[in-house]
Amino acid sequence: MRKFKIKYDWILFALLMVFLFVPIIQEWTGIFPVKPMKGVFVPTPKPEFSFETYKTNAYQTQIDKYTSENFGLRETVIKLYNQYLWDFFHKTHVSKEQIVYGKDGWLYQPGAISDYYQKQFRYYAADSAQMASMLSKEAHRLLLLQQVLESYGTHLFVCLVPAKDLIYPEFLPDDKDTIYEGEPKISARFFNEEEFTRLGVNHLNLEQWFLRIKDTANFALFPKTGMHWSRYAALQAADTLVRYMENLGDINMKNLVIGPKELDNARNPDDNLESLLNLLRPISKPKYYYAEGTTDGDPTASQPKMIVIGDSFWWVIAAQIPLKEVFSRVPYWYYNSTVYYDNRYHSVDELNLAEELVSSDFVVLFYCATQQYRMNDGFTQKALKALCVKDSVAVMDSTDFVEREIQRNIGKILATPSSMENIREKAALNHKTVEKAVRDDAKWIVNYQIQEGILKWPSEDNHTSMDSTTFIELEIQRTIKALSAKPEAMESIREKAAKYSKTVEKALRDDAHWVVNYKIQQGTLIWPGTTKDINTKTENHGIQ
Amino acid sequence: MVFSSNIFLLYFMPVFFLVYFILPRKVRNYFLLLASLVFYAWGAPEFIIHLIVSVIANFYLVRWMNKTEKPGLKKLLCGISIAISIGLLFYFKYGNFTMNNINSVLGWFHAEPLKWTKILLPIGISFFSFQSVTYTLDTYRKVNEPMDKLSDYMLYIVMFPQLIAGPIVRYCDIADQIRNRESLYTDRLQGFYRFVIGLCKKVLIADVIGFQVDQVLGPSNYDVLTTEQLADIANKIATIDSTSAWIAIFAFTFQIYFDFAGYSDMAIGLGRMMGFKFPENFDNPYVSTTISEFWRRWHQTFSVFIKNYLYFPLGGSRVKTEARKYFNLWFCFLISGLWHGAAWNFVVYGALQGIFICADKLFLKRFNERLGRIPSVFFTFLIIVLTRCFFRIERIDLSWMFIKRLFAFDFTPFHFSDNPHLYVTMLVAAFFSFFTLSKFGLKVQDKVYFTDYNRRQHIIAFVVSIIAFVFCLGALNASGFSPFIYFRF
Repeated sequence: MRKFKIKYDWILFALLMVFLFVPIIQEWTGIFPVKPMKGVFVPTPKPEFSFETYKTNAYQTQIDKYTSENFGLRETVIKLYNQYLWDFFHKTHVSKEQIVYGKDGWLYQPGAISDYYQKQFRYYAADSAQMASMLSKEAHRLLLLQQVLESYGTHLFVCLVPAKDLIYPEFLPDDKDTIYEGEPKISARFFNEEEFTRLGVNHLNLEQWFLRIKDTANFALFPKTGMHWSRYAALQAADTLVRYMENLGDINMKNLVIGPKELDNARNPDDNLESLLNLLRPISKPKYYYAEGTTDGDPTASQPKMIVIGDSFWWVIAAQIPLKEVFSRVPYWYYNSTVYYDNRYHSVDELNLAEELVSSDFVVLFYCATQQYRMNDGFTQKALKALCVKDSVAVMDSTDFVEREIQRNIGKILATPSSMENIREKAALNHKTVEKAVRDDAKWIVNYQIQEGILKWPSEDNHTSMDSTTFIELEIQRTIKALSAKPEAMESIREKAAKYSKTVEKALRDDAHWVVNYKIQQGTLIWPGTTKDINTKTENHGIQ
Repeated sequence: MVFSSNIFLLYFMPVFFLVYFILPRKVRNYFLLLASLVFYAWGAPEFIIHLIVSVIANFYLVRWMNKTEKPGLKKLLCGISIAISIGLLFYFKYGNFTMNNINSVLGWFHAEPLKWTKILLPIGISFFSFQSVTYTLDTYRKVNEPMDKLSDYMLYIVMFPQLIAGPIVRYCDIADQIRNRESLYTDRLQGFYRFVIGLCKKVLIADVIGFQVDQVLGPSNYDVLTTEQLADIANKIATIDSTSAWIAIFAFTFQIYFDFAGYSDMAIGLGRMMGFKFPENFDNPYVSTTISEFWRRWHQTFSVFIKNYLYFPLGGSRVKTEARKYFNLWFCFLISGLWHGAAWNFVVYGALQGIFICADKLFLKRFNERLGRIPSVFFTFLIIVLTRCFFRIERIDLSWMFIKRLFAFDFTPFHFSDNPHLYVTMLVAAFFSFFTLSKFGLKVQDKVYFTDYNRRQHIIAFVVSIIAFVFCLGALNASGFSPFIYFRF
C-alpha cells in the first residue's frame, strides 16, 4: 500500500513537470499544430541584450512582451480564455473601440454606435456646425471636380455605401454610453445625401436602397459577424452600380448576370469581426445566400475604365464579379493611398493624378457611411490641385490641417518600432488602447509643434496651400532633378556614394536634402505665398 | 520578476524546479540562492548590489554582536544592523516623500527648494528590510542562534517565493527549515495546487476587478500621471454617481484582498514545493466582527511583526496610563499605514485604522457584540470599505471628494448587463470572502488548504489545477501583463 502511494505521487509530480515544460517544448519544436491568431498587430521585436537595456529594465520589459507573443501554445490558451469570456459574458478582450458587441452575437464595426446616434463627427470636428461646414465644403469641391472632369469626358460620382448600423440597428447593444444620449447631431450619410441632391453631385445611394429592400429581400444584407455587406447583397449592389453607370455615362455596359441563389454555410461569409475575437469555435450563424456573378457577354457593350477610390466594401464586389469583363481597367485606390488592380503603381503618390483621372471614363468615390467623414481622404483637394484648378471652396480649414498633421504623425509613429514600444507602455499604464495612445501622442506632437511655432500654419490666402513637409519634399525633389541634370554634380555625388557606401540615389537625395536645409538656414527658401521662412525644426519633430 | 508573468510561469518556474529537484540536497540551497538572486536581479538590476552588500554587512555585524560579551557593544552593533536595514528602507521608500514635504515647507517661507534626484523604489524592500530586522532582533534577544553560513542567511533574506511581497517570515520560524527540510511528492503537488489557487485569485479575480477600478479611479499610483491625467481623474471622481462610486470601492476592497492573498498563496505554495512551511498571511479577514479582529486576520505576518518589533518595544499595553496604551496602539497603526506607501493618504489610512482600533477597545467591540455576528461582520466590512477610499485614492482631497460622492445619494439604476463579467467576478469574490462565515465553509477551507490529500483528492486537484493554470495563462495573455498592487509597498 505504501509503495503504491509513493508511485501515484511520483507519477503526478512527473506529469506536472512535463506539463510545465509543454510550452517550452512547443516553442522550440512546434510539435502541436496550432492555428495562428487572427487580427493585425505590431509584433514585438526580439530584444537585443545589453547591459544598458538590462540596467534600465527596458530589456526585461521588452522580453516579457516578446515572450507573451511567442510562447508555445499561446494561441490555444488565449482562445480558450476568449471562448470562456464570449460564452459567459458575451465579450472578449478586444476593445470596444475595435468591435461593437451587439445583441444575439451580432458584431459591428467600430464607430457603429456613435455613427448610428449621429455622434461620430466628434472624431473629426469640434462640433456639428464645423462638421457640417467641412462636409459642405467637400460637397462643393466634389461638384467642382465633377464639372472639371466632365469637361474631359470623365464621370465622377459618389457611391454612398451602406453601413451595418443603419441597416440592422435592432442588434445594436443597449448599453450605449451616455455620450450617445441626447439629440442626434449630424450624420455624414444624411447630410451628404441632402447636400449632393441639392448641389447636383452625382451620387448613388445604396444605403437608402438597402433600407428600402431590407424587409422584402429574402437574403441577409449583412452577415452577423462581419463588417461588410453580404456576398449576395454585394452582387446585387454591383448590378445596381453598373446600371447607374450606364445611365450616367449614357453607355451600354455588359449586364451582370446573377446566378441562382444557393443557401450555404460551408462557404466563408464575411466574418472579419468575428475573426478578431480569436475564439476556439465559430459563433453560430444562419446560412447565407451565395450566387455566381457573370456577365451577359454582350460583344457590343463598352468596357469603360473606372477608378475606384474607397474603403474595403469594394473588395467584396471585386471578389464577386468578373471585373475584367465589365471594365477595361478598374484600378482601386484603397483609402486614396494604396493602389490595387494596377501593376504600374503601388501607391497613389507614385502616379500622375491628372493623367489618370482624365484618361478614365468613370471615377467613383466608394465609402460606407461610417467612413464618409474622412473627406475622401483628401482626394478631391489633390485632384483639383493636380488639374490646376483653383480650389474656390477655399479650402483647408484648421481642422483639416490639424487632422492631416495628426494622421501624418500617426503614420510616423507606427513606422517607428521604438516609438511604438514607448506608446505600448504608455497605453498599458494609462489603460488605453494602443490606437488611442498613438493618436494621443500624435495629437500631442502636433499641438506642441503648433505652440512652439515649429509647424507653420498654411497660408490662408494661398489656395494651393501645403504643409511644410510637403513643401520641403517638393523642394528636395526639385533639387534632385536639378542635380541630376548637372553631370559634374552627379560625378561628385557618385564619388561620395562610393566613399560612404551608399547607393547613388541615397547620396543624391542626401545632397538635395542638405541643399534645401542650407537654403532654409540662409533664409533663401521662402514659403510659397508668404514671406516667412521655414524653421529648420520642421524635420526634427518626433516623439520627444 | 513577478509570479503572474510569462517569464516566471513559463520559463523560470519549470526550469528552476527541474534543476532544483535533480540536484542533490546538499547543493539545493545554493541553487535556490542563485535562482533567488537572478529572480531579484531581473526586476531590480540597479538594487541587487545594494541588497547583497547590506545582507553581507548585516550577517557579519550580527555574528559579531552575538559573539561579543560587552552589552554596550552588543547594543551598538544591534543598532547599526537595524539602522542599515531601516536606513535603506527609509532612503529608498521615504526619501522622495520626505524631500517633497521639506520643499513644500520651504516653499511656504519662499526659500529655495533643496535639490534632490528622484529615486526609484526597489521592489520588495519593505519585506526584506523587515526580515533582516527580525534576524537581528531575534538573535539579539537570544531567540535563535545566528546562521553559521553567509549563504544560509542570504537565502533567508532573498528567497524568491517571499522576497517580493512576503509573507514576512520571522527568522526564528524558518531557521531550522533552511538548514534541514524535506520535500515529499505530496508537498510538491499540494504546493503547486496552492500556487494555482493564488494565481487564480490574482489573475481571474483581482485583475478583472482591478481593471474596472482603474477605469473609475485611475491607476493606483498617481506619481506616474501627468497633470492633465490627474485632472481627468479628479473630474471623474467629482462627477461620479453614487452607484458607480459604491461599486468601485467595493470592487477595490475585493481586489486588494484577492491580489494580496493570491500572492501570499503563491508564495506559500512555492515554498511548500521546496519543503518550506511559510506562515499563513490571511485568515478570511472580511468575516471579522471587529476592526481588531480584522487586523489579526489581514496580513498576519505584518501584524505580528508590528506587534513584536514596534508595539511591544513601545510598552504595549503594559504602560502606566490608558492614554499611553491607546497612543501606542494608534501609533503602530499610523506607522503601518505609512509602511503601505510614502504618501499622506496612507498616513490618514493608518491613523483611521488606529482610531477604529482604539474605538474597538473603548466601545465599538461591545457595540458589535450586541449587534450579533452577521450584522457586526457587515458593519466592520463597511468600515473597512470606507477607509479603503484613503488607501486607493492617493490624494486626500480626492479621497474626501470620493467619500462625499458615496453619500451624495444620487444613485443611478444598476444594470447587471452593463458589465456582467465584473459583477459576476465581484459576486464570486464576495462569496469566497464570506464563505467561512458558515461551518461548512470552514470545513471546505480546511480540506482544501490544510489537510493532506488522499489519492482521489490528489487526482481531482491535479486535473483542476492544470486546467486552472492554463486558464490563468490565457487570461494573463489575453488581457496583457498586470503587476501586483503590493509591489509598491
